[in-house]
Amino acid sequence: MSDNIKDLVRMANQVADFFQAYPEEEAVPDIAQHIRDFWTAAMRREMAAHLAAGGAGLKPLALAGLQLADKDSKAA
Amino acid sequence: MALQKNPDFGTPKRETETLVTLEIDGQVVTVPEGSSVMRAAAEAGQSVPKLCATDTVEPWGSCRMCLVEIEGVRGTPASCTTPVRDGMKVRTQTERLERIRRGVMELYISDHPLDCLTCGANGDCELQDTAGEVGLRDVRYGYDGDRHFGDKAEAKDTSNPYFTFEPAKCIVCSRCVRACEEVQGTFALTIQGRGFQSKVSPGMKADDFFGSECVSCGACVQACPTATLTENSVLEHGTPTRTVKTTCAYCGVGCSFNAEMQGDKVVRMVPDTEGGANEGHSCVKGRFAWGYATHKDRVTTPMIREKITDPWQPVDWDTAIDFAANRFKAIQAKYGKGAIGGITSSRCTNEEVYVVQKMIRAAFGNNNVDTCARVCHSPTGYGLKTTFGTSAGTQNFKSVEQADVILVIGANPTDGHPVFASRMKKRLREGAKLIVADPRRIDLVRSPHIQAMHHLQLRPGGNVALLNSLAHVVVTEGLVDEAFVKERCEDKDFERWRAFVAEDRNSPEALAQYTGVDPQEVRGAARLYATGGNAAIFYGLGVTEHSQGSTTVMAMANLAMATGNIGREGVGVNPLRGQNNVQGSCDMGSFPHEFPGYRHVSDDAVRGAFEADWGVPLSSDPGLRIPNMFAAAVDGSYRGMFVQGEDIAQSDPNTRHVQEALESLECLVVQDLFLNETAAYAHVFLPGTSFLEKDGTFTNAERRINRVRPAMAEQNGMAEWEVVCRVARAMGYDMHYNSAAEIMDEIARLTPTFAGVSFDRLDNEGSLQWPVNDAAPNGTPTMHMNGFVRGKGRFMLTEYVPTEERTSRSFPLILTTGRILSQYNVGAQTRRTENSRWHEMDELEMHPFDAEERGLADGELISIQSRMGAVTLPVKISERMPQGVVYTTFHHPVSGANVITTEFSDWATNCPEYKVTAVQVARSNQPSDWQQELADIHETHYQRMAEPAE
Repeated sequence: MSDNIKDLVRMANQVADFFQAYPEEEAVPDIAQHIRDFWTAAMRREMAAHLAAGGAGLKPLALAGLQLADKDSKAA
Repeated sequence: MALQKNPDFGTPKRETETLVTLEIDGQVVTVPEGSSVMRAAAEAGQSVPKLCATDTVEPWGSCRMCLVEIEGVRGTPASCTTPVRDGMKVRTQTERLERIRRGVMELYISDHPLDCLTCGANGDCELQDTAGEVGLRDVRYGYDGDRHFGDKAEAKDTSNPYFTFEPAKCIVCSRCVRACEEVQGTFALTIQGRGFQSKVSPGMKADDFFGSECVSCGACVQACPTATLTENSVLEHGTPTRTVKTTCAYCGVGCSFNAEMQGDKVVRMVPDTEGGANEGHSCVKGRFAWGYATHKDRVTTPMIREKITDPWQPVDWDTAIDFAANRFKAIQAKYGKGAIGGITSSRCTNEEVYVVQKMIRAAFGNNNVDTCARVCHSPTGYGLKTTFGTSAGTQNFKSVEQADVILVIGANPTDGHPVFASRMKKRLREGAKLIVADPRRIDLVRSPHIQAMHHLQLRPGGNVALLNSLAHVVVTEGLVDEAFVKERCEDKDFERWRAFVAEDRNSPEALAQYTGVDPQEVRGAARLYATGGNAAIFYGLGVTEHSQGSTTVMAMANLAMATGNIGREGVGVNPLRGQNNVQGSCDMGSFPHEFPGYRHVSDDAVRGAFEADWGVPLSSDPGLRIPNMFAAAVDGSYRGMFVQGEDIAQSDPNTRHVQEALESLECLVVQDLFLNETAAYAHVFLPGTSFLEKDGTFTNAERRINRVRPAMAEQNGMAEWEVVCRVARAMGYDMHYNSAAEIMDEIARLTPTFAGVSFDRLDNEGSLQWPVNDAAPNGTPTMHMNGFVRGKGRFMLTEYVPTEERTSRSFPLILTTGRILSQYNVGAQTRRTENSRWHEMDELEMHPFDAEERGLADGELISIQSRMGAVTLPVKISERMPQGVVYTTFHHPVSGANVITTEFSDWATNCPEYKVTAVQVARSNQPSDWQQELADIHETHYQRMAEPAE
């Protein structure tokens, strides 16, 4: 895993750690919104590639939020 | 303007709506109840002679110069200590009064040197003026007073680098002693001896000013009516001849000053009593440490170089700007539009910051703009916007005068925000209660006439756990302000939060394992905060610079809402901002996801408004944050950077990573006063302007927009905003303004919270606190008065998540960092002043037990090592530290404090976790490898070619 991906995975897991206090149906869209609001397109693309490769290192809640953000961006 | 001194009304203004009407010398005067006769007379234009009275301190009644006659009152009472009464008839000038005053003055002068023509206060001496006013023509007692003349005169104390104490000139009016007590709150001065032997003394008998408790705030110098305490700059140059009203460029308090000048030379900086932030007070930095502006290290000529190891080549502006623009354009052509970006500076004006972010968005064509708030208060923006709806503190500083309970968390105001600390300490002396939450025993915990009721000495990293445990007590002991919450807050979020914090796992007892704080102490503090009257929270970087910085900000907001401590004077959640214009630089759209006014770049309507005004399409995609810029630089996708007035190579964490990133850039442009640490990696140096040369505005921590006015011409020959406009034009985007005022007009046009702001209004009204718009045409001193900006306040769940940075057998201590009074941030300014005499080098503070365990003696060189790197510093053994925690400052580049700090950061904003680094400390006898490398860089990266002859 590259240093960049390690950083992104850590950041995503941290975001998920904050939202874990909320019910999953709220936490997942909130994580996705956070990623959309603050991550650059390049960061999101890099994470999308990591998700496609299995998303190693991501906590389940982070994974769900990132997948939703990825799905929305592809739909847009 | 000509020399303009603030009027002195003799005694302080009283704040009451009850008015009293009296007659002074036949003139009817109406003043607030409690005013002195002296003040009433001064307000009516009938000034009474005075020596021991000045309106920054309470009346003393010792000089007997201000006597008046009052109808129906026997004798001649002192007007300074006599309060006004309805119907009172006062005479300030009669033959009897004239005779008495002249007699008193005769006594003063019999024991005062008469070297007026060569005296430092000549032309600016109240004793001299008053002698003239009372018509003193003769001194019947002779002129050879016991202690003031010839061999009897006591030697001057010249130990302080900024002012001289000449005891022979002292008339023992105690104004300096009272200013030290009442205004500054340090209690360093006293009157020693009796009768003719009475004199002002700094602390113990053997102390001189420099060695005493004196903090060199200058309040005593300002209060002195004679030449006893005089600025050395006045002694050297003489009295000033003109005044420029401006704003200090140090911390986020944003003090107003009168720059007193001779021609284009600053003679002294005098705090402005009309300044809303400081009301006439100052600290050692703003008052005295302005000499860096004309320091010999200042670079005033643009410079370029092909490679960072080449010598700098001085060039003209056009060459430097074309060089920068061509390199940026070539990078974009090769790597794409997003391969360049920039950083704005919180030390620059709103107008200068605004044009940099505009250049990046409009000329660079991306949103790769960030600001140094990333590494300090970005969690404040996130946390307060989420809970309250706006990214700013809730109060003005004056509000602290109405506080009954003050919670200071993660801040050390006496060092970091000293002028606000003085206001706070004044309120504490009046009886307000204090809670301090800090790992260190900072001065506020116990200092003269100040004693915290609770010192919650938590472990670094335990903020969220501590705030959750405070909230637990509030909720479980029935201390919630139910009416406030019901009316003002989102019901669902509150009920969820109430259930969350009420869980046993959030009790002080359960969380003590993380906080390290006695649960009973936490319970006592929570009860005091919730029930002690108006409770106000003030916080600093000890809150934000953590992996849970944003969570902590939200936890404080929760606590304030739950107890109804928001939306009126005396309460609130208040960030103490580090740099002078942190608030402003954030307001001006310096974050990569927000336009000016904190509006997201993806908002089509907002972006459309900027596109229409700027005449160019703008990106809807958030740009890179500073840490992302560094990462992208290392991986090769980010190749060019414009850095305005910041020294990221010194101030940002994980120095080796920052250096690697900067070294990999193909074009680094630095706009600054000095060749700082970042400039070692730059290809273009664009000389900047000091605050004494700028025309613009700063916005302080209370959202107060203050004018910054040029006291002297730009030393570099060009305003910084004009330089940026030229770079933008060279990049192909036509950006042009005729003045800084025009830039503010554009800001007001495009930013709803600034809609009513203009230079004309600021010049006429002094300052304005945003929002200034149709809803609040005269500004907003207190936020959220009739509802939150977001509508209803939102409670957020704040689960405690321990940082990943953990102590271990290899790194058993926690390092936390901060600042001290005399130095400022990376020290670029203060290190180039006499302030360095108080802090010549950074030290590592350590508890005696930890030092003994390692066999370390005070002052020894030690190596401090983390998993990121090591540096060598002297150790200072200090009982202010708890066991297991060490502390250092980062004011000197050679110290390399950030070589040690890690890559960890706040979950929401990437604000670095400066406050928690696991380290080990051991004795050393040499600089670290990094420090030796730094010395090499200083040899190779700063060479300059001679400037061509004219």
